[in-house]
Amino acid sequence: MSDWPDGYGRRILDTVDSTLNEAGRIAPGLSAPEWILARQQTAARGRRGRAWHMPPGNLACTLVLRLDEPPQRIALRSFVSALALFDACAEVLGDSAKLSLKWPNDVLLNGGKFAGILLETLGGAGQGGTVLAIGIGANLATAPEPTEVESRALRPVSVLGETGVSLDPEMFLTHLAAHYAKRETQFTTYGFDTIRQAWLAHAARLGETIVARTGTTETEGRFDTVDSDGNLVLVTSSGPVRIPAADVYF
Amino acid sequence: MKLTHEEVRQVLSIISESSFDSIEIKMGEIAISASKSGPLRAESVAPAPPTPQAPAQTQQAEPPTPPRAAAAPKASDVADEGLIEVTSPMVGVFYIAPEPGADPFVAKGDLIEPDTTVGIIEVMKVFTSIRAEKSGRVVRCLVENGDFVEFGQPLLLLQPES
Repeated sequence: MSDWPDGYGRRILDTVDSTLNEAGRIAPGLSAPEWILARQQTAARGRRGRAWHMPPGNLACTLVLRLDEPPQRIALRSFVSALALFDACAEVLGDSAKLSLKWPNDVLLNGGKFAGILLETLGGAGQGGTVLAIGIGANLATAPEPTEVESRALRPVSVLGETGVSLDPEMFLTHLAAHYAKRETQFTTYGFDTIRQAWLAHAARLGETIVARTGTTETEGRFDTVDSDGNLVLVTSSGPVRIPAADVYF
Repeated sequence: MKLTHEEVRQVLSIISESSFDSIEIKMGEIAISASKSGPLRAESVAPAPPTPQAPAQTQQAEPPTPPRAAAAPKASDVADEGLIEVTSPMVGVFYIAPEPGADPFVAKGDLIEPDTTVGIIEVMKVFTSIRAEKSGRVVRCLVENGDFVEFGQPLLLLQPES
C-alpha cells in the first residue's frame, strides 16, 4: 500500500511556521481533504501551546478535512489517525510487534514515544461543516533529549535510533496517507466499533494499572477498555470511571 | 403532572443504589436532575438542556466539582433577568484561552456575536473551538479554565442587545 490515495490533495512546503497554522490558512478554500507536509517548521507546537521538537528529517504534516458531523463523532478521528500512523509504521518497518498505542492517540515504539498527534477544529462548525486539522509529528530521524520533555513523559525515541531504519518523510507520508484513507473509509462505513477493536488489539498496558491526569485530578485504575464513545475506562477502587480527556501515565 | 413525595423518594433510591453519578429524567412538564455529588433540582421544563450523552460515572476535570453558585444559575433567574445562555455543544474539558497564559477569548462586558469563539473544549486530544451561536453582552462566565463540562451545560450568560 504505497500509492497516493484518491480524493486527497497533497502540498509539500520547504518551510512553514507550523503545518497546523497552514491548515488554518487554506481551510476557507478547502474543497477536498488535503495533506500538508513541511520539511522544516519554524514554530512547531504541541498540545496547549507546548513546543514541539522538529529537527530536519522528522515528519511534520497535517491533514485538513471538512466534516459535517457532531463534535463527539469528529473527536473519534483521534483513534482513526493513531491507527493509520500505527499501520504506516508497521508497514515500512515490516514489523508491528515493537509498536503499541497509548490512549487516545500516542503511537509507541519499543515503549517510547516517537510521535504526537494533535487535532484541532478550525473556527467551529460553519457552512459546509467543521474543518478538522490533524497534525502529526513523528521522530523519524531524531528524538529530543529526555530532559526536553516532561519528567513523567515516556522516553522519547526515533525510528532511526530504535531500528536503524532511515525513512524519508515524503515517502513515509505516502504510506500514512494511504492508511489514513483506508481507516477513514472503515470508520465512515462500519462505524467506530471496528476502529475501536483494532485500536484495542494494539493497546499498551491493557489490563494493567495506569494513571490518567486531567487538570489537577489524577485517577489510578486498571485499564479496562475504551468504550463506544472513545472514553478511557479505568476500574478504580470505587468502580469503573469513564475518562473523556486526560494525559495518561504508565 | 406532579410527582408524589413517594415517587421522588423512589427515584432517589434507585439512583443512590446505581453506579450512575447523575441522571436526568424528563416526563411531560416535569424534569428531575439528580446527582450524587451535587444538589437535586426538580423544575418545570421550559427549555431544559438535553440529556448528557455520557451515561455513567464520568471523571470530573477538577476535583469534585460541586456546582459553584455562579456555575448553576436557576433557569427561572435567567429568564427573569432576560438573560440568555451560551451552552456547551459537547462533553470535555473547557479552556477559556487559546493556550496557558494567553488572554481569555471573552470576558465580562464583551459584546459577542454568534461566530465569536468563547472557548475550546478538549476531548480525546481533540481541541474544538466553541462558538457562541448567540449574540449579546457577556454578563457572567459560568465555567473556569480547566473545568469539565457536560453537553448542554451553560457556559456564559448574555444580555441581549436591543
